[in-house]
Amino acid sequence: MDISIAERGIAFDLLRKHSTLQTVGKYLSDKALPSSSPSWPVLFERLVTLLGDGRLHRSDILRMLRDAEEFGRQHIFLHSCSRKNAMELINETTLSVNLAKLDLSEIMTKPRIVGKSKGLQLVEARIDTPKKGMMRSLILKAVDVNSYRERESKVIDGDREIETYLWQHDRVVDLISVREDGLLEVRIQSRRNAVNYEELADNIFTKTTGLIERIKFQPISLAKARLTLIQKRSQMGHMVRFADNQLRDKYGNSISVASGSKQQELYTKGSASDKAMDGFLSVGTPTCDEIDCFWLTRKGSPEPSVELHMLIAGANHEYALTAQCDRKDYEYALAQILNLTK
Amino acid sequence: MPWLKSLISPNSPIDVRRNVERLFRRASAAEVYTLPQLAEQLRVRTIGTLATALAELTRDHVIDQIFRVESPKNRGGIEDFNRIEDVPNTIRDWRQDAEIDVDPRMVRVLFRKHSEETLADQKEIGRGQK
Repeated sequence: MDISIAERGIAFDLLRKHSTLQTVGKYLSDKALPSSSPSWPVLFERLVTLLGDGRLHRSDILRMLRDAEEFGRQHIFLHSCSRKNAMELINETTLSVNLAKLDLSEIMTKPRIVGKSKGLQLVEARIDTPKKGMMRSLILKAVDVNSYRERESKVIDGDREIETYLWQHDRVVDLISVREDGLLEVRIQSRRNAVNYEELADNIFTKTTGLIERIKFQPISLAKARLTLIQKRSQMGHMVRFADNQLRDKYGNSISVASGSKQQELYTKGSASDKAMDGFLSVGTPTCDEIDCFWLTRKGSPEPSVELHMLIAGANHEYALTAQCDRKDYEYALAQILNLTK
Repeated sequence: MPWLKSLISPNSPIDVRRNVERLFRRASAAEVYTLPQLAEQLRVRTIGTLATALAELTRDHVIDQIFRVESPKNRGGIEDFNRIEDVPNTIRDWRQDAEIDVDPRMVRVLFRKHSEETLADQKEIGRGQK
């Protein structure tokens, strides 16, 4: 067995938390290994046996973890650099030399399997080589801790009200991906509380100094994408359902519309909200500050496999996929956003 | 004869109930109303009479009462609940991607035409709404 008992325990905990029985089962069946398991304990027992007799390896556990924690439930910041710069970074020799200078060679040769971390730490550096025809990318993965207060109790004692809070610490995974065509994504895992995601994106950039030169990357503004999406809302109605939206004119006046529920379409043809938006868009060129929408599943289209909730808000180059998803759905959403910036 | 007039007043409990029923019969499944909206629309003088009619119609499954938790960000709905006891103390506000404490001011009581489907069923239906 090439994985320690401690690492195995952490990995199983993380799989139980972030993956599903079906996903792990599919991974095993793709490798022609026994896969059907009615529960996590049974599945873990099976994994222990497979790891023990060498039919599964530590690298398989790492792959399962990547699928479980690297896609969705994230705020994504987009940047770009020249293809030449990207190709220089996506090079195993360059990466191993740079890692050695930082005394971090281990995260490439033997990525860390980390549970709760005391602070932001790099755990993995790899060149991702997906299926044929897809672009390679450099992935730098980090584990961080998100601390927040949770109210435990509230006691009223005469004129005194006493509230007790408990500090909670969640493990979070952040990463940077640089694609061959020069696209850089900083993916910051959604935190429980409201936080400044842009600041967290800056932190991981700082952490990867020596591996990535930030100065070579420019943010990709999503201002045009946000406005285009609203202007084309009727044409794109078969692909997107809108939930809320905020626009601003050149005088600073803003209009904010929101659907009554998650399932309702905000811009049904001829509705008051649709007409109000037409009116606002007809005067000058407003700025769209926020879009909250769902990418819909469609007959005959394999992606997205589930409805994808997307929030395009915050920094100009930021959007969020609020729920965990698989790699294909993640890439579908990313492609839609990039198409809208053209 | 003023006593006769009071009997045929549109604000008698029977008439209020009938008017509420009529309104919801004509309403679409997506329409929702608050208590003040109904009072205004049906020109009801005493809220108590209207509240009683709504309670009876809810009990008789003519209409449904829902408790909608709204986002403090823009008053858009986050989630609907059938009973006030089901409203959690904290909720994931997907409109701003953050966990928030539910304040009573964020809960709106709404009425709509009765549906045999549960709220969970309606969430599924909403997915193919367009």
